[in-house]
Amino acid sequence: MTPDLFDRAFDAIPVDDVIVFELHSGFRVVVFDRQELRIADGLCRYVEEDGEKSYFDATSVARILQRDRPPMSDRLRPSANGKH
Amino acid sequence: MTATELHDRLEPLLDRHPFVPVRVDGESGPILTISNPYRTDLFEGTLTVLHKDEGRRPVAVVKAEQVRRLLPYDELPAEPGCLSYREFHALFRALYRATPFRPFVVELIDGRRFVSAAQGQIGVNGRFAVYDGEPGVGSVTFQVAAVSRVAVVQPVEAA
Repeated sequence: MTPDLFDRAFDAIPVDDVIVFELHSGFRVVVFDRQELRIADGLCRYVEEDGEKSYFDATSVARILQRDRPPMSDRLRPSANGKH
Repeated sequence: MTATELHDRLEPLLDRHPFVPVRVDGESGPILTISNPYRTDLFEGTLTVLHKDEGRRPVAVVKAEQVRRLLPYDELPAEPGCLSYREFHALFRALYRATPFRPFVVELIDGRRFVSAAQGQIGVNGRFAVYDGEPGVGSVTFQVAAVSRVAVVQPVEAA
């Protein structure tokens, strides 16, 4: 993705939505909150949950996806049969 | 805490947006912190936190009966001389999103100060923040809990 296309795709996503950067390598970067990000000079830097800093280049991005935050209910199962 | 109590207390905390880390306390103090809702599983009363980079590898496993309480970080009190999690994030979010953007400074209790001259020069994820220095200087990671002040940088008038 060119930096220009990257900027336009990114700017089109509502500020409170979850952003998924799908890289050409197949790796996905999920950003829950835009304040984790810094985008400048075609480079996207982000802060991970443990404070580690990572980055990728705009040209390594295949797609930018917008998604609502999915509910957690599928991940929380009190018991095997779904009963508490 | 029973499995049902843990489930019912945890579910709304993991669904918060923006997500706020959750401290899991046992009888003798904190056991672990949940920093990413999507790397957290609860199955048959067993809470599992998964490794950030290594697929499904668990890094912490806790039974419901070991858990005394769940504490979102925005309910924790501030460290002496510092801002609370809630105070910091409210200030930071407002300044990060301000239009037009105005440079702001983040000061730590140890005296260090970081100026965000452009949007995103300081990035925040939950309990941690990263300051991007000038080219060649590198970056600095610091804990939100160590922040004593966040304020707009006042321009200095020329003499």
